Amino acid sequence: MFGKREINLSTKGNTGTLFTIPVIVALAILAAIAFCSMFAPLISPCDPYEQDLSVAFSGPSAGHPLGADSVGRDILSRLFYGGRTTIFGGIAIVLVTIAIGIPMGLACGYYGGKIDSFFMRLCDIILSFPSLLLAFVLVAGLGRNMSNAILALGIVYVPGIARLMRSLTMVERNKPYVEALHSMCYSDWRIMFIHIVPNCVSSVIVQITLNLGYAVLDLAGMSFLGFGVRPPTADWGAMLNEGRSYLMQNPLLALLPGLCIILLVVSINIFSDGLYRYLEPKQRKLPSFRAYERAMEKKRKKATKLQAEKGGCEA
Amino acid sequence: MSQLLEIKNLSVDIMSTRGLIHAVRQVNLDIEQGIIHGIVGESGCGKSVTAKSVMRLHHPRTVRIRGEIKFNGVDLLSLSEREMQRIRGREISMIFQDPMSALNPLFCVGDQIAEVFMHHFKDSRAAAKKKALELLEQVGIHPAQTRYQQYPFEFSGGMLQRVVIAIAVAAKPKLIIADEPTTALDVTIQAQVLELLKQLQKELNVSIMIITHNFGIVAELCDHVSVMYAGTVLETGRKRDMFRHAVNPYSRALIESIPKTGHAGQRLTTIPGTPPELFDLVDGCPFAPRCDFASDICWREKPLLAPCAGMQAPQGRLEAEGESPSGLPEGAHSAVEIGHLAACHNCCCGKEAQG
Amino acid sequence: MGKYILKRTLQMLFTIAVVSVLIFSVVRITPTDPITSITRGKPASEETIAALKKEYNLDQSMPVQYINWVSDMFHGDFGKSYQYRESVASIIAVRMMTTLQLMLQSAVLIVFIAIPFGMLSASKMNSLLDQTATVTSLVLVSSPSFFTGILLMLLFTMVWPVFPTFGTGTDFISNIRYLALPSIALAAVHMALIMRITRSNMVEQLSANYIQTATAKGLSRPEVVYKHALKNAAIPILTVTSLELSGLLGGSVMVEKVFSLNGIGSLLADSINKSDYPVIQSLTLLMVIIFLLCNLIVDILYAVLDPRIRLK
Repeated sequence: MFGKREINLSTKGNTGTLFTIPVIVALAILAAIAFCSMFAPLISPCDPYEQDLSVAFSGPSAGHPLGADSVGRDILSRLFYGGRTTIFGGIAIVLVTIAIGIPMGLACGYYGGKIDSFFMRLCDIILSFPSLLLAFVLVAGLGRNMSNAILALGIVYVPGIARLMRSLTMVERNKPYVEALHSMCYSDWRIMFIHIVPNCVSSVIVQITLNLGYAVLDLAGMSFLGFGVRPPTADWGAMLNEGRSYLMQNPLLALLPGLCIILLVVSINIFSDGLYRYLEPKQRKLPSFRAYERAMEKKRKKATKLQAEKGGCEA
Repeated sequence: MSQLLEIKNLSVDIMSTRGLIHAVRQVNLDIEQGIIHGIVGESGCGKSVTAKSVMRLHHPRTVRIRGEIKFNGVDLLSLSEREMQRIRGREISMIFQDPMSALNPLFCVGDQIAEVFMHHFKDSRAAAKKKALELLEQVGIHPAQTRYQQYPFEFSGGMLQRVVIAIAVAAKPKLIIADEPTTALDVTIQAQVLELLKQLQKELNVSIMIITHNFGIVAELCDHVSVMYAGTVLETGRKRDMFRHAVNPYSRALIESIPKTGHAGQRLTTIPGTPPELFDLVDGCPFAPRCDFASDICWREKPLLAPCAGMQAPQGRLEAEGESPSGLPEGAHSAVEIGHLAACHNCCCGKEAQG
Repeated sequence: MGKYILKRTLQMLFTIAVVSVLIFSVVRITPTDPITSITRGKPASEETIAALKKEYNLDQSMPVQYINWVSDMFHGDFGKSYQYRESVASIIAVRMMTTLQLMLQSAVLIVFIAIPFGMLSASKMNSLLDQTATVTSLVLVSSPSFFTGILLMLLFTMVWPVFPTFGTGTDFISNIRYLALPSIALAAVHMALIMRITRSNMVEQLSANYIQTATAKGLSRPEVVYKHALKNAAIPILTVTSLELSGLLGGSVMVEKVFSLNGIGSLLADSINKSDYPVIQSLTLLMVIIFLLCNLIVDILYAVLDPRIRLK
């Protein structure tokens, strides 16, 4: 009697997708930037370091599609190569942050006690420097070059990741499955890295993508100040600084690398935002009734059209 | 009796991340002047959504309300937001489920009560405070002077619910909607809060629409009862009639699952299964999958709320195909007068009904 | 309340002590010899070097140098700059006003534009205004302050020359115009961030249960939003705003360089590039102290706003 005929109550409708239109556009832009940087040696029209004073400040031409800079280097090629430096730098910063922050947060959350308070005080110290000041001091002490800038910025971001990881671990640690693993005499290492980390991944990934955007911006800032990438290396931040001196001769010299930075960071941020909405369904925006009805109408039309075609075939 | 609130063909659709929820489906409900009307059902059956629709608390972008909600003859759904603001708190007020989060944590409780007087009666701050102090005494919060200055986090759940009740009765409204007012409270506190509600209802002669999933509360408090299931009203009538002669199998099952004293050793009656999720509109009776008496017609056609025939001894098939009571057998007349309505294709008097 | 403030103040003093040690030692990991920065790379005789070492207290051991630095700081003596060969305190004093005014103007922009727009955006969620604001803030957040500065410079020199793009005025009032563009450039990123955070906090508060109670009382939408929700949203907004405002200190380094302003930001950048350690360490410590003082004020404001902190 019971369950004789099941009423179809399937949970249809939008279960949420990562690939909304803005995210697709952002991914396309990221893919294009990644492609141009990765294959820079193949697609660049010229050598980015070759100087030719005869074409200095020249506008777009066949040889130099976007013109040439103050010493006659091809801008387009420098943008391609600059993308390499910028993206590599951003990723390297994030890797430094992960390498330090994740184990630190994990240990703090898992063991608590003295380890926890020591590392959290350390984070407090890092956070007591306003914005990039700590990175500046570190670079001043270690020497001004790209690897030191990457290390310094990586350290600046550590507290964010470490605190997030710590709170996530504290939640996981108290769940029954961890107790079960303890009772099986698994080592702390195994429990932490094989079992707890995978359960925290989704929140951490959102934070990491967000950090990547900031890392690109901040590294560009460091290079702009002369603390990061050294000339003549092609880098969007450094190019922006070079172009700044020639704003009146050719504003493109400063505008193009700046726009590239914005485009890259906007895309990263849109992607990160989309990821957040996807992983945290509460944040998902609901469609309005008008949009919903329009979508349903479309679906209905498609269905009737399909049916009509089917009918036509049969006839 | 005059109808204070008439809900006609109310449908509420809610947009959610998982799809469109048809939370309330063609609900008809009348609440009379000066009585306590209980609305009973399992969680997720559209009770709260109906209540919030009366107050128009839903966000218009994600919630669509259709039908009519007449309060004193005025359709609330056709009022402008400004006109609705004059109704809220003044004519109809609401008590919420969780008192801990229902009050603003950063304002002292007294000010939150006084706000009603200042807003609706344009009282001065001092006058509003005086009235609020009296009200605090009236709902049993002593000493009012010190309690007035305190913040919600310094109160216990039961005391906070008294504050919420004070806010609700402050402007002496005609109707109070209480949305599961005791669910978040300890059992001992529940009885006190219910007692307070009952006492205030008598003093102020307001109508209370109380939403609950507990038939015990209905037994203690209500004059009339409506049973809701999956966004529809299945049965409605006076409490006494309901307890003695519930017609709908779901209402009966709910009543039977109240734990009784003096039945030691007997298993508690339960209803198998869970209420359906409300994504799809179904043709048949929403309770059919869980109903012991379901027959073919239950799967095909939606039962409509119609006057019950033969209230005193429910028997035979109930012809409730149309809305008009014209085709009813003899004896239905009394049922119409009593106002006992039920929605069911079968009478639940025995196994023979299912064939 | 008093105990709470005392606790916070002691915590702050401890942090300042640790940070001062940190700054002092980090700056001295350096591979550059201070003497080379003082003589600007020129070769010097033994006697000159010895004299310079004495002049700059470099002949003493590290701990002694640290103690000298800290004890001198209490007397307002921040040491002597390598590159300018004059007292760090006087260099900073000369340049402080420009940076403070720049920050003040940016703060005004943030507080009076970003926060109201964020609130408006939240109370009219999904409206055209909200969507425009969201997109604008996304672009602003992704644009480095120095590039925003360069864009503004181009715009106001070539298209619409109403604000000067370089130079400074003689006093506070005349400086307002000169610092208009730099302060916009400096504030842009922070404005966008604060707008987003104000919006998301307001949205969160507006979906809280007490908002339903307030609405059910019959209050109008503005009363619900600006009286009930705002006070609750104010606490997180305040935190972030204070962090961002003191973050302006770091941002000023880049913006001052773009607009060639003589503030402490450009002084810091300059000193790092010239390995002028006395300036770097004193200036950094000063900025950290300003930042921590801001945080302390916010902590006290918290207690004023939130009875749950005040009364516990």
